[in-house]
Amino acid sequence: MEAKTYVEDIDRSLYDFRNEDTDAYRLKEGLTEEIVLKISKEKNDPDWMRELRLKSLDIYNNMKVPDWGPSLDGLDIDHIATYVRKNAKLADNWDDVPAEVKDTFEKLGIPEAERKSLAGVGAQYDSELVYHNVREDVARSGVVYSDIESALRGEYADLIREKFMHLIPPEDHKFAALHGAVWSGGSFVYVPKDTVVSIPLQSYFRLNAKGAGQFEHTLIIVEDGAQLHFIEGCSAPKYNVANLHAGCVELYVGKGAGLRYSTIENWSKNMYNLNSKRALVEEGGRIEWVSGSFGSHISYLYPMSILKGDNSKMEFTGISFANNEQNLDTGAKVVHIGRNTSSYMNTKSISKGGGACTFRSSVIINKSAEGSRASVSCESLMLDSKSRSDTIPAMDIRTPHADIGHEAQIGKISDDAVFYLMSRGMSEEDARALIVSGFADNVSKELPLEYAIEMNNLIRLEMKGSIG
Amino acid sequence: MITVNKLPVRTFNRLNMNETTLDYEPGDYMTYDLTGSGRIDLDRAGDVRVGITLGDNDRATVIMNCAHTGTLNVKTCIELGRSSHLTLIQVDGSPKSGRLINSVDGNADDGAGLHLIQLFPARGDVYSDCLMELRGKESSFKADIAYLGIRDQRLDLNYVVNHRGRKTESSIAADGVLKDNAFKLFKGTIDFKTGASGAKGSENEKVLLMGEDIVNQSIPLILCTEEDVEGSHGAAIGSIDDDTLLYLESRGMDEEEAKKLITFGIFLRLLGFVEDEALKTHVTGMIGEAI
Repeated sequence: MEAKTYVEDIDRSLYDFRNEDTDAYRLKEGLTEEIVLKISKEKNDPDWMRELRLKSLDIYNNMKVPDWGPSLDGLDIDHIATYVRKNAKLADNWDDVPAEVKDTFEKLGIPEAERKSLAGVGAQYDSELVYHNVREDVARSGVVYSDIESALRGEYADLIREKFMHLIPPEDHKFAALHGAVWSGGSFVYVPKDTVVSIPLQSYFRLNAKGAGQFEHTLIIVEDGAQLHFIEGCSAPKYNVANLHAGCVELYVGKGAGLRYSTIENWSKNMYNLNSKRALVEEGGRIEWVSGSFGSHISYLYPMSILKGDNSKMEFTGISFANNEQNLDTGAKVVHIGRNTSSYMNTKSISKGGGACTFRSSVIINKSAEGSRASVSCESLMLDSKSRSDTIPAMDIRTPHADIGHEAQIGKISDDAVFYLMSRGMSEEDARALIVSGFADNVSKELPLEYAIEMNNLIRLEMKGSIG
Repeated sequence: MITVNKLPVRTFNRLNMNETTLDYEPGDYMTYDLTGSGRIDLDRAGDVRVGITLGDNDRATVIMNCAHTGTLNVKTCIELGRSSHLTLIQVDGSPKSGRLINSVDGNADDGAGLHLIQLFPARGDVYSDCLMELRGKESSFKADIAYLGIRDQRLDLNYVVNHRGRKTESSIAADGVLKDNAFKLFKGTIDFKTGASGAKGSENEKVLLMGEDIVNQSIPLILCTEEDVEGSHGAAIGSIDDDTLLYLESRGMDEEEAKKLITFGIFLRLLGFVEDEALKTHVTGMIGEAI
């Protein structure tokens, strides 16, 4: 038997620093009509939004917790503060952001990334955005990138009312209902017809408050023929109580339009990440998901694509890395409705140190989706025998005029490969980390360079101490 | 009501794949016990329990021909001693109105193996469940399934292999054709338990879709809590690919003949294991009638 030692407490100081919860407005813990109405008042909701919140609360109270995923027994909504707002106004200049908040995002590298490689940035701290800015040339092309609350009262108010929680209605599942009741913050992006945003926009979500929830809503509309790359990042310091993230992402991709949605999720290991993401793709449109899941105590995350238009396409590239205390249940869903639609899922998962990864997917090809193609490929790597790795892919095909392929593999790091690298002068730890980085290469090569480096650093961090 | 074909771990409830509930109440079970090779003809509706026990180093082949009318509920319990090997061939030869509720539970000791062959040639609804426990070191399980679904037939198939012993091996291969408005749900699970080091498991599914109103559902699972294992599953679902069709047409066949040949081929591969010529002819006749 190979001898191994494990470092239980990994140095995550890059993400684990925290600020004291001072100078902040915090609603009491729990979920009641009174709390929902207070959030609604705080945000100066229009009437329809207040009604949506109350309807969502009712749905939440009457829906069961999912019985098919990781246990949510440690999550008690009565001990979650659903709204925490730093005493700061939304700024479009980092100098106007409170020093400790600015310092947080500086440490996370957001202002630097904005200067170097982004067309716009939104930064959310707890329940509200503290910074939002978009480059002038991008704004001049008609692209709107703002906080949802401002957009609700502006030129696009009717459009938002038409689209908000229509792709993911509160009835969809219990945590969509929770989101509908207490959502706060997030971004609205509108890319006009035939407009190409050549460098990415990024929203970063930081949950600093202990025992709190973050419920941001991202609504992106990419009109016909337009192109966008949107990056979402998230992190939080670790506490000894549960935190909750139940965000909601709704993406509308127009005819012949393209949207790439990239996520590097690195929540702390006390986080319940119950996030919902869904895209509706019109004729000839394309949605690409790039997803890295590294953090969270429990994750339920399955971005869904509805290929409504003929010849629309979806591609999902994902990686999950679960270490001690983590149970990451991730994957993707796709529904083919239009003719000649195609979908491709390619995922990797790594389980280590008692962590559990589950790849869960569903591919549904409706009777109308003649000429469609779907391919699902998942690979899992087990780094020890106290971890767990499951694959649960489902397919439901209702037309004979479709081609569906599926393949999955599970295994361990090849001893031969480790031996070869060690014979070239590497330590065993470095050799294994290199092999795991290579295993994750399909995701990292899809990311902008800065994020690929961050992801590889995360893998290296997680691999540290895996050999003794 | 009875619940059958449960997935070992649940998934999205909306897919309706987690289990199947049937309007059936089992009554008294008729029992058969075998300790060696044999043939069982089940030509009546009702509840049947079959026990097959093989001692150490035994070899046996058991053929089970289900020729019932109405609902036949048959439970087969298999105990395999060390280094024993059983080939179990199950054929649904019932009239088209029959319903088969079939389950196979097996335990294999060190070095023991079960080869399960199932032929479902376009009869009535089929609900078939199998749970194999590979407890012994180097024990093995192989399942070969062929089916043809026609009319509004419902085929609901569930296979679970628990790898517990070291160097255990399993393979599940399900090949079938769906026509008309037939429904098929295939569930296959390979579960590598802690301690099953050196284990290997694979699942493969091929489905040819030939009906405009078919429904094909598949959910192949791999569950794993052991590092030193190799597991894989693959599925290919669709219509006959153009290259195959072109090849067969270049040999003088039209599309209909090509489809018949391919459907026959799926069964012929497994009929090679059936040494009973009369049964073989019966199955071939049923396929011919259906296509």
